[in-house]
Amino acid sequence: MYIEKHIPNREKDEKLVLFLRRHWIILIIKWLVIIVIAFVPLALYLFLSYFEPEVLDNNIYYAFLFLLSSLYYLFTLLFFLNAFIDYYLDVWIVTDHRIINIEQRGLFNREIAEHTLERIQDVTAIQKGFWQTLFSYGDVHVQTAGEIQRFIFRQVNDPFNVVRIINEEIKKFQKNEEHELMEKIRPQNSME
Amino acid sequence: MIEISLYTLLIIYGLGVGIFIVFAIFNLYHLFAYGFLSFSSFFVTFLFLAITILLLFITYTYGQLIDWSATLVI
Repeated sequence: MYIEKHIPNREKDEKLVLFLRRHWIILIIKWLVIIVIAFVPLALYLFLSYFEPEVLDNNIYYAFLFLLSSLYYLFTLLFFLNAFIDYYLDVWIVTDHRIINIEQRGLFNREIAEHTLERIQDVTAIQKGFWQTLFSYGDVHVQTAGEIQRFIFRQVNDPFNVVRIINEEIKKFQKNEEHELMEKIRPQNSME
Repeated sequence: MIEISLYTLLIIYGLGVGIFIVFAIFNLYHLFAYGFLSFSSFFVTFLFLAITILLLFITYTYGQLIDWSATLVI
């Protein structure tokens, strides 16, 4: 699978279990706000047309407002792209060995943290408020025994199912570890 | 009395477009360097570039109707 090849520091037999991003509604809300902001020059133009038409008739004012509007729209478009990149580059990956937290905090500031499943102590899902309940998204808090003690999967889709899957993977991981330990002990016992 | 040609505004506008291009390259670099390439990332990139070109074309087309040789007297 394409994504599996791009898991950071991927181990040989590591399998992808979950690949999570924020819920799509978060991006849509940001985009809608940006689209509303994009109407400001248009509203200003209509206001001036009706109430202060002499401003638009003046060549100098018109040139200034024209270029300012053009720059305004270009930078609004840039914010549009930035909102998508901020959404797209924040990912949370759960494999059968570990969880990986990749967060892009603005430009040139990227954080990747990972923890093996055996160091996870507690997994909690939190769904708060009307919109989170309606669209079924929320936060998943993963408590670990390590320097970074808590991972937070922010605004992910179906957080309760994510918690269930992580707990299942932890149980499988622990069973495998016990099985491997028993395999190591058994030959020693048979020799005795 | 200081006379400033309207071409000055074009120079400032050009600087603004330059800053926009620099930040656009930064953003696209991050998307290609760290993102998992998919239809959505391709589509958004395409949409961004298409609207940018459209905006600059509209600016150029309507900008030609303005008399840039006029001067601003302060």
